[in-house]
Amino acid sequence: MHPDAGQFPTGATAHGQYHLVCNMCQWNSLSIHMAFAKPTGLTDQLKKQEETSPDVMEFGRLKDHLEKYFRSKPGLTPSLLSSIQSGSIQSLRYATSPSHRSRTSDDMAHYVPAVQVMEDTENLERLMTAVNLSQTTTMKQRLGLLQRQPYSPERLQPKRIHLRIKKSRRCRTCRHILVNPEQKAHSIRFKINLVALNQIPNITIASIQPMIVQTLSRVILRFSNPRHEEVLVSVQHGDNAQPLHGVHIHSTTFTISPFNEVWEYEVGTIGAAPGNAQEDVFERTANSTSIAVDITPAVAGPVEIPLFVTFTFRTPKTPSEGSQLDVSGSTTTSEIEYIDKTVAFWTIIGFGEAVPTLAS
Amino acid sequence: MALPIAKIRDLSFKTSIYGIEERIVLDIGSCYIKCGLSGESRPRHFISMFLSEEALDDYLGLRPIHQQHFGHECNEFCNERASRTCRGANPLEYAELYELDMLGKDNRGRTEEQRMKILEERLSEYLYDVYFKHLLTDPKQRKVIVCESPLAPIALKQTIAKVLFEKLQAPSVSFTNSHLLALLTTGTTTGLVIDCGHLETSVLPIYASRPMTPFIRTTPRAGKFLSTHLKKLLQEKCPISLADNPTDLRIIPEGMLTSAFLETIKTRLLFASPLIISARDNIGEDEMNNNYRDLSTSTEVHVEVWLEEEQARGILAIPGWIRERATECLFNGDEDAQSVTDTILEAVLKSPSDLRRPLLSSMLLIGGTAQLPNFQNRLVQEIKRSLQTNPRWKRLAGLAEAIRFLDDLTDEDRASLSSAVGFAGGRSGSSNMMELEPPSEPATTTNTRDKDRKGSKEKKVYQSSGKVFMPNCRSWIGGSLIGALKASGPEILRENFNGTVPDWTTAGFLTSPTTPAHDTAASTSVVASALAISY
Repeated sequence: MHPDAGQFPTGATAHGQYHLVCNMCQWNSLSIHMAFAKPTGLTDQLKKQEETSPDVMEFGRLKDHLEKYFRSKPGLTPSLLSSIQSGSIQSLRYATSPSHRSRTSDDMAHYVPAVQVMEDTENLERLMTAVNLSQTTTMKQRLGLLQRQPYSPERLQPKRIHLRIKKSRRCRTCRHILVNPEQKAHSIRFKINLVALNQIPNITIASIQPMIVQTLSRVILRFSNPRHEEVLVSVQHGDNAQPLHGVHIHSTTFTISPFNEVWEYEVGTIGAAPGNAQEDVFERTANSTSIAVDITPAVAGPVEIPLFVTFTFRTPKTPSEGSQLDVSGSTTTSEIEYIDKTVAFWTIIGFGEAVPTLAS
Repeated sequence: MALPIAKIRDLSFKTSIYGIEERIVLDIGSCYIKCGLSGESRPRHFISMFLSEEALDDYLGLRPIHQQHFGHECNEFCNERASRTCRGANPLEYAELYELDMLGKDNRGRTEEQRMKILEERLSEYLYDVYFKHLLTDPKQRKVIVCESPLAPIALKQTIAKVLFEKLQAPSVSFTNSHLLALLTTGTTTGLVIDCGHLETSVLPIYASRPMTPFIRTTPRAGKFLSTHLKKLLQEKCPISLADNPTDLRIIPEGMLTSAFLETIKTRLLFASPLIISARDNIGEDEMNNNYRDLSTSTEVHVEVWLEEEQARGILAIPGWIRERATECLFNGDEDAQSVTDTILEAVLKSPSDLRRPLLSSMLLIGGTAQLPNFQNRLVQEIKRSLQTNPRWKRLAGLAEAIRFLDDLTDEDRASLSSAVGFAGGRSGSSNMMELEPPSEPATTTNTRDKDRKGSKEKKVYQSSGKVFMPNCRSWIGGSLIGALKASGPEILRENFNGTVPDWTTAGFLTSPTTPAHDTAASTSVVASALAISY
């Protein structure tokens, strides 16, 4: 019923032909006599059919016809036009005799159409006997097949997916381009990305033990800092959450070193050894800090811990409003004012399913 | 890597979104916007004015209403400004882009100024979508052809021009008469074009590509009128039975009969009855409905609906007579709104007497409401009946035998068709006429007689192309043709745009801010003047 639901070229049939099938509704393009010689370049294969479709052929014929007409009639003078304008249309006699017509009338030459489409009585017959709404197509389906707009679902054809391109997006206040269009449609890379989400510490689970009800398991959470400044992070456990799992965060306040592109190539070489007790965190690598969290699941089922994360960083004070983005990055004034900015957010981290204790 | 020459040539003739030669053709209706590139035989996109895309699907109250923004799903294309203007509106209600009367307050109490503002916001949102979401093209590089109805409010034209020039920076816009454009798709330039759309039905005689606007006649009996009538019929005649308890009948709740609901019924279940039942004088509406019911042969359609109050599923049974007789309201007229038939005949009668026959013998029906199955055949019957029975059209009665629609087969075609059938005697192999659909043929060529013509020696000459284009696309296709030939109505250039647009109603007083395309070939300006007849 929905030929455009999703198609996958399937294997060759007995005749060495390919066709489309929908895995959802079992629709098969052979039912509308659509088959392909090879599984690639379907559009090109359909093009031939498209070019011989009656409306395309008729359109081409009309275009030629009108072109001839427009070329051959240089004499549509303004006076003639204005005569109609002034309402003296009665003077325009319609020429009935062919000879007269050819001399004076600037009506179009006789047009010979390229095709003839028979009247479609199928719609009427179908409608008169319809008992169910699903026997006719929806307006949306018809608008996908504008040249025929059939009432019967059997005559629908698969629809090509409309190309969606990325558009360039500019920040409304700072006019900074946030997203640039990409030439290649299949590339998913965003050129410049100033999404707020990427500016907050990224939390990943570095190691995890299986969750067992009423049994303490230790989880290592790694916080990475995407910013170029050092940040101070404090983590709190949302203690009103239900079900109430036992949560103990070993180091609630810690710092994370700034992000530096160079470090991407030598991860883990800088920082303290894991489990170093002197600085109250579990591990500290380049721009990430790991902390240990002990979780005692209260009941079986998914363990999800809400965390309230506050982070503070030092940032140059934004100059007065109306400033332009400094592309070169050079600052003329030497005394840049720094201010502390604090951002806080809630997050819920899922640690998987807790299994019941062996005893119970 | 060198392409073969033939291939390069092939590419150069194809429409491409990368070239800037082809123009943008827009047909902006009150319910649907048709958009695409000139030189193509059909619009690329057909955008509905429903507040939600879903409404176009099979919405009949079963699905939950998604909270959606205006006009589209809330995705990356979301435009918040526009949604604010229509906040609170039901996503299943049509929000017509414009109404015929844009002056004064509307029924929601908005002033003219507010309405124009809303129109501008919405139009710019839709046109942004047209360019950046649907056609994926740069508005600054392409000229625009807008199909305009001759009676569209000037304020609407001005707003369209304003949005195109000021917001989208289009280089030039030309408004071209939609009736004339539709007529061009039949290859002729004389005819009576009947546009049966949503807000109104307008009948415009055109002679030798000159729209004779003084003789235009309109009636509100069109899509919207039909919706209202259908709503009344459903409310009065179709109770809903609960799915669990079929004897428990309810009246259709008012809230269920949204525009989307009515549109679904209209586009999927309605048709024009092939049978005319003459109404005797002084016959009541109820009695007439009984007549309709007794003479109906169509089946009843059961539609599942969701009853919000009862929280239960219900079955709405739409009887066959409503399905075939709802359209009757378009053929029956009264003092306030005359019937489509009378409107057509009045336009003919107003026309110069020597044009009446050619006009009646080359009528063309366009517009969305004209898509109702059997509508056109019924209209022919109605016109013939009116000519015979109504004393008002006595002067036209002699023309009854001349009545023909341009996309109907001519007598010659019919004759050749019947002789061919008789000759071939069921064998359709060599005589390429009236062949049955070979099962191996793809369905794209259903109902055409043009197949394998190349193979056959003798070329059949047709008189009429038949219903090769759908009525709701004809105006757009005409615009596409004109655009492909580098012709159009009078062009307004962005540099010259001062807020006003040329219009036939103001043609005499306006010192034209437009420059017809004089720089290009001579043929273009001729065409422009031919098309610009009404200005």
